[in-house]
Amino acid sequence: MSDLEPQRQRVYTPDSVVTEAPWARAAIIAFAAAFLALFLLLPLGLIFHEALSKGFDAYWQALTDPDAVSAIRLTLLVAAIAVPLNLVFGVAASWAIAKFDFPGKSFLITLVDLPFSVSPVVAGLVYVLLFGAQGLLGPWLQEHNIQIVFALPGIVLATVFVTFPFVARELIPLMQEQGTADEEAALTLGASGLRAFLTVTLPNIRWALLYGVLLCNARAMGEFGAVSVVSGHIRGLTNTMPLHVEILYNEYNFVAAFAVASLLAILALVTLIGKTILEWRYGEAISGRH
Amino acid sequence: MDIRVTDLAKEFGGARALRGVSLHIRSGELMALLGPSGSGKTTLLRIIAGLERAERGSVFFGETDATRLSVQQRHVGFVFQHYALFRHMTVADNIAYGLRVRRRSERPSRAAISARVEELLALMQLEGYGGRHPAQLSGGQKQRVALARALAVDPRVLLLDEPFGALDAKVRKDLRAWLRQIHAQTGHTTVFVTHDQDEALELADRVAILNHGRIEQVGAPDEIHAQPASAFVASFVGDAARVPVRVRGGKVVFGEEVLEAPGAAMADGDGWLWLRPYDLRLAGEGDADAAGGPAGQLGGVIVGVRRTANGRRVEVRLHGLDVIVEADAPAGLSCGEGGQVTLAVLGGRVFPENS
Repeated sequence: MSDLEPQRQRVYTPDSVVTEAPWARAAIIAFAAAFLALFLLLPLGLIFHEALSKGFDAYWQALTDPDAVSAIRLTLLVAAIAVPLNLVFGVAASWAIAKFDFPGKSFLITLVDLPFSVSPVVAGLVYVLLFGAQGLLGPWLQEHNIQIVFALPGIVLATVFVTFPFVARELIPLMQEQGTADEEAALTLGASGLRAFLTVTLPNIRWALLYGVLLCNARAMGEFGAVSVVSGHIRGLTNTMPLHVEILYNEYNFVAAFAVASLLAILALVTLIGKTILEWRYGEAISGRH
Repeated sequence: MDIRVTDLAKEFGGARALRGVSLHIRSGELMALLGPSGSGKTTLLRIIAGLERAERGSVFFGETDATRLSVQQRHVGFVFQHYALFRHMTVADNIAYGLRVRRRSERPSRAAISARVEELLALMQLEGYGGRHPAQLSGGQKQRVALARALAVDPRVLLLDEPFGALDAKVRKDLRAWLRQIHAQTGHTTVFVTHDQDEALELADRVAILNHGRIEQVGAPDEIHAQPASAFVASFVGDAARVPVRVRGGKVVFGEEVLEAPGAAMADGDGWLWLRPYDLRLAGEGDADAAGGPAGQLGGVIVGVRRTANGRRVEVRLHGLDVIVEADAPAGLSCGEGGQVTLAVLGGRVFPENS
């Protein structure tokens, strides 16, 4: 057979050299789907199944228990403080990193990522060592009657630390991509720095910012490790939802534990849906491609 | 309003972008800053605008010392290479931006602003585009919106940074003619930066050539092209080949030949003779018009014939040297590659070797 003759016996012609054979594609997709079902969907379904296993009344009772209500309140309060703080910190850090050149810039980028690489438990311990009764600033704080560890301020601090990167990580690449020309244009047209920020910078990053805030909020409400260390687990006082779930579970109160856990699962689902809508609708504005 | 800059110097992290630049841009003039990348031309423009601060030197707008004025106080119109349109605003809102951010006491009425926007849209031939967003416009349209936005505030001077750099060749050409027309209509003192010599020579009243943070020459396009002030200008503007020569008593000696190059205003010594294609007239051996030019003649062998957009270009290797010069081929050129030819030297410029 000459080289120039078409190879008639070939059954399968790929559209592209990087495309797999159909059976291989099907197998890979099936494997991925099975994995997702086993490790993600099944547990999620199980949460709701367990939570409702003794009927809706038991479910509702578990959620309206005073300790549960207090945990839900505390979680919402912590998120309501930590998320706006990180919104401001995140925008400020991204602004500085993306729009200016200064010595120590790459160090600052590393610092922004630090909470991702440090175990949350370590972060919590650091705050205990700093602000706890035996801690570095403990005596001074006690003198002035300021309670940080085992109280709301400590929980907020730990949450802020753990959720810091979410907003900044979303904004830095986008702002770097957008550069400073838009702001410069606004300045040459007579706008003040603040005016340029509000009318040009902020609208340019709004969807990425919302995306970052969404992720930041989900983590702020769901954070366990760091908060566990600094909270002290005082029922009805310093227990957030994840901590409350753990306590209930350890007391073999499965229905109540899964009931509170189902709220966290709903939060996760809402976050996922919001994230998907943002990606679908404003994917280009978030990643900076135009 | 005329612009005067004196002795501007600027460094970026140890790299010297400007090394003592002085320039006078006349009122109502259209001036091009031309130079290769890294020559400092954009830095100069940004310092005039107030977007960068010079380490040394001053900037004057008319009689006003603008050196210490902030970018907002300078009232310049600045057009960016990549337009820098506000992508979340409509075209009309983009154009109105500079008027809307004014203090209440200086801000025109709502009606006056929209009248001004309509007027500018008409000037830019963009009627009906006011409600669109930048993403729905072509590159050329975006650049016209950017220009309208800069003109809306009635700036003291208009500064454009590579205004056509991101556009394709055809659009560039159209916009060039059109910018010339806008400049004639509005009369703003205009400075634009470009690395494209055609653009600079065709569009500008005067051209300033920058290289390594210094101004090499300032002059009208004809002057720059015909009388380059330095070897850099000769090589950067237009096609030119350089031939190593010696200068003796005002005459240029090249091998056995003695040429009377008009530009040999240098002391005796080694130098380079810069020859543009139109400095040479080519004739084949035995052709009727193989007469010598006013400055002498050179012999060589054809090593290549190229078709260009406007005619044929012949590459000739000069006898006795590994130098290839280019000349326009006459219509009836009889010989091809390998043919012996004579080049009549009609002009050329000589610069010292180390310039």
